[in-house]
Amino acid sequence: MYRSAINPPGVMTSVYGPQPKERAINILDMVSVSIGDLFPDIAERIYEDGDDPSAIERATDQALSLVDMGMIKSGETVKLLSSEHGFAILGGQPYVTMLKAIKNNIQARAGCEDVLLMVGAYKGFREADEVISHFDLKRVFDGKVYGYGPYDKDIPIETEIGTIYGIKKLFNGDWFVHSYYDDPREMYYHRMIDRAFKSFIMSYVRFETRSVYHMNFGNRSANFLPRAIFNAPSIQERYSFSCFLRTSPAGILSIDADNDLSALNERITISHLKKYGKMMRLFNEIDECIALVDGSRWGFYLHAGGVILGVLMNVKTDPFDLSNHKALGGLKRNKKGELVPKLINPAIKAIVMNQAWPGINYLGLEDTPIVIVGEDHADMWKADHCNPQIAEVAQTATDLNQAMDMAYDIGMTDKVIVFDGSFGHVNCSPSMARLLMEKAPQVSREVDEELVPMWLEQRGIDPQAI
Amino acid sequence: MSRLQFLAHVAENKCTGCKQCEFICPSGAIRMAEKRAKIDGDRCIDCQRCIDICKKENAISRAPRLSEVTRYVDHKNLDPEKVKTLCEKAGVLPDLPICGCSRTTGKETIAAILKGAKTPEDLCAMTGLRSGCGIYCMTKIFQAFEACGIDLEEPKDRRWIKLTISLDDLSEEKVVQIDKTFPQYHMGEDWRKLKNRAVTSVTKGSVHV
Repeated sequence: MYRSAINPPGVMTSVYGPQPKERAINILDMVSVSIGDLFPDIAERIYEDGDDPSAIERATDQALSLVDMGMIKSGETVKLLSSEHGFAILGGQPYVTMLKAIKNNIQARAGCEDVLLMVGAYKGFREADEVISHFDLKRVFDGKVYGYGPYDKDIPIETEIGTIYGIKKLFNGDWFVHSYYDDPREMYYHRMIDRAFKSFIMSYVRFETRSVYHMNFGNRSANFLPRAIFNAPSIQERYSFSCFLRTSPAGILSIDADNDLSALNERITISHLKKYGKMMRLFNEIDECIALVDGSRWGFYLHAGGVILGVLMNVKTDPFDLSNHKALGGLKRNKKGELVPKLINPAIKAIVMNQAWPGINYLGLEDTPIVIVGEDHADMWKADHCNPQIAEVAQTATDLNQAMDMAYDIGMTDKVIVFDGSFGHVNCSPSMARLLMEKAPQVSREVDEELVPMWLEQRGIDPQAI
Repeated sequence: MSRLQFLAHVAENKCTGCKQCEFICPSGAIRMAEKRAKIDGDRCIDCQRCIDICKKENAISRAPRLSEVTRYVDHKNLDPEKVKTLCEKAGVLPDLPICGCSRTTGKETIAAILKGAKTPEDLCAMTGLRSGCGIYCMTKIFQAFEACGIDLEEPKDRRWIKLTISLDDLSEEKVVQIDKTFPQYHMGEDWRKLKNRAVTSVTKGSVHV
């Protein structure tokens, strides 16, 4: 017997997504498997969805008490640099609470009143406005809150490998705080090399620079770029400290802050290899499934047990093993003779989109059957030039029950995993719950005894020393 | 290649002539005339960025085209060896999409430049590049122009910046230094793989892969 499915974090209304609809777990007969049941050793957390966020506030105060803020003087301007995905982790409240506590600490300790929150956006010009309104950030930050995105005015940054271009409004204050989160999200890109630095090559820079990261370096070597940007003199002279919302598959693990980003990065690396390594390898054991996408913001980034759909799609290889020169799956020719990314994880027999934002390319989806729930929702996907292949292949269902019937027929499996933003547990079908529980002990042993020591050594961390 | 059923439409009574849409348009489809935005349907690629940025007035919307149009540049009547050579020079594979969204291939990109694209805006209007996310293909666009001998002049308003820095640009000395300090990036291994590649494409039948 398994627990009933657990309500996922709420859905934010947006011009970029369909009108919020009934959540999948309220319609389908799903159950929930907790991370503690799967892996008792990684169940630790300070917050899960629905908890009192004051625990986050206290943890931020405590973490910041160990940080030097002596460089910040009264009368100076401090910019808190936030990144977009933090506002979606467990509904965004933990991140917002941490940001607010950072501001309060700076004002109290440094006597500095001019603390500005910079709200990052992926690419939409209304994303930041929506986040600011949804979380009432103007009130929380006394009106000192501003959106930014990849098309904003540039500032050249001289790095040790050449000039690249950042977002000017982020780096023109006296100081900035790297106010980030460590949710590993796209493990196949950053490969768990310097995860803590990644926003220096994505959120904080112009679109041309992001293009260079993805297109002009290797899958491992590209991760040198964010460190090179962070180490640039013009960035270092404005950097004050870092404060992170630390996560694990179980939920919010802690708040961690440091003046030394490399030290913080190493703590994250060790924790993630041990904790997310288990969930990543467990997903690798799924032999067949229907992935059900049900949440706000980009479906590709929705979580199940703290791990995003994108990881399940690309989990055929081990992204943490740095002896693999690339973690993504290579190329093949499709029926039209075009060269396209290879089939995503073949265990995914069908994808059902109950609700999710389009607007980001789902690499390799063209051979995967997709069912979209609702004509209005399907119309959004058909209008999305990021995914023309979805418009070509997706079927539309009038409601979720019909969509699931179609997916069961296509996929010939009743194993369903729901990507609905959940940490702490996986909402899924009873058959999937059985599979996960059955495979977890073996995965846990393999990760602890074989993989973690190898992964650590590949990153220059002595496994015996931790 | 992009198939387009819609294009941008400006409600002239709402347009204030702020020019934000002109700045953000990737295909040069928007020009200001009499202090109002005008859409050139032959260039619009339905990226919807102008609709998104016009958030105060909501003056731009999507309108159906009279019939579907396809933005695609055929490479077949061009010298395949020349296209292949230019792809190599640009650091792209002929049959590999340089854009995950529109799936415009290296050879289509080169073909569009050989057939008259003089700017990234021309290239996007001809092929549908940047109709999706509009972000990750940028450096390959610049490299394609460079390979074809076109020295792009950066727009004064900085709507794009010609950035092409790549692993290929790093000196051996620099790579060795990075490898020594940060072996986890495998910089040297990636760099040597790039430098030692015999060719970036081979011919299989009539197709360059």
